Amino acid sequence: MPIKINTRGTIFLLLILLLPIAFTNSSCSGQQDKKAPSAVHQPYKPDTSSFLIKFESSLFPLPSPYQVAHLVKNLGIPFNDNILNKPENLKLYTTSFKQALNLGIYGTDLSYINIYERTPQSISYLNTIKKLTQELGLTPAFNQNFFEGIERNINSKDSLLAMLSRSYREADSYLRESDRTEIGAMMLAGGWIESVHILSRLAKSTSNRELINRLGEQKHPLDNLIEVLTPLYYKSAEYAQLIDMFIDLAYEFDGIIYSYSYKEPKVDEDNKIIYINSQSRVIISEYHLDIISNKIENIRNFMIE
Amino acid sequence: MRRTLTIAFGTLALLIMLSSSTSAQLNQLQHICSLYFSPEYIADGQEYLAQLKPDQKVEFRTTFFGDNTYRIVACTNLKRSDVIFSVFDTEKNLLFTNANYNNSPYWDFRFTSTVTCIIQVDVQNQKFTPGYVMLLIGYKP
Repeated sequence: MPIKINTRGTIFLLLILLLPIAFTNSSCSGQQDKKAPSAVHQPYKPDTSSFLIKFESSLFPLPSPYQVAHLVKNLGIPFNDNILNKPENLKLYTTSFKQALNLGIYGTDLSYINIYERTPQSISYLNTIKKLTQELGLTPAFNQNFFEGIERNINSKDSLLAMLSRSYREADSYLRESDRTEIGAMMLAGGWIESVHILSRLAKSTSNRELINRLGEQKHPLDNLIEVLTPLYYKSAEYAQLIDMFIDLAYEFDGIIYSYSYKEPKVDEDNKIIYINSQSRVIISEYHLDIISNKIENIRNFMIE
Repeated sequence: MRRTLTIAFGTLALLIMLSSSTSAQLNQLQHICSLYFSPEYIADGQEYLAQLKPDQKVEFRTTFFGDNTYRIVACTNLKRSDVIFSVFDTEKNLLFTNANYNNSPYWDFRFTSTVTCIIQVDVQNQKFTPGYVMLLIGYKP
């Protein structure tokens, strides 16, 4: 018996088929494109008054969690595995919300372990990350080649860090393309909180001024992170709770005193290096250090428990 | 009826081709950008990707930590086009623009002190067509 298809049915079928493509394209181009004016492109002139858009879904560029680990190691502070999230906690993370947060946390932990060249622990954390990426469907970014490459380079800390950061970059790109930016945002949030948790725990235990200052310098990265997370506020109660905690933490960072003075940069054109000579200073009291550290711990506990 | 179906599926095929073409363009862009990102730099784990339209500039704010060297790479998939990136501090002092150096796509920045910066990205070409720009940032351990 032949199947009857009328015109209305064809249009309906076409619409059904086209919808996913339409959404895919909109996720690539970004919503802010809708605001674009149709004026003629002007030759370049550096100013701050032109129509500006922000990089889609990526307002939280630095610090890389690896930088914190490098700083701690360079200051000669001994390795401390008590400050890390234990791989055994993996079984607690059954929702994509918690899995993504802890993928960020374990990634930061792995970079810390790796910089201290603790190979057996690296393998354990790597397996944990592998399980989480499988649970979250991130195998295009963290595929078999990646894990085999990591195993081959497990004793080369720089190679491992480069591979890990490249895969997190690919995951970020993949999540954006597949319209799952909330997973990428949670990975960022987890990675950031773990790096400031390491900073604050070690800053308090060692009273090292450089670590304390670096913690105080997290105000702008935190503001950026909140900006990334805010669109997710109404996604569910747990997203809202997490974002509220970050906003509460940001209020405490407002109590830190910053000073900045511009100095003219120098350009070494032959070596393509620009020396930025401007100076900044952070003044953070014991009181603020305690308050900020406690709030960081509360947020981290919310994520890992 | 057959004609309607032919048009419908023809349109569908065209859209699928355009969609996969965009994906291929982005992969190509990623590849171009990575060429300037030597292995001695550790990426920050993100790609900063944006679609530019006429008279748009892209900007974002980021914090560079003192006593560190960073690499910024900016590239585009537009033919015969250059990406211009400019770095300002939060007081809007221009710290650097590659426009003064033949729009060279990558530069290293050595920060003596921690500075929060605003990075602006623009595309320069004679006949503007929409396209993508990508930025990669990494630091040197």
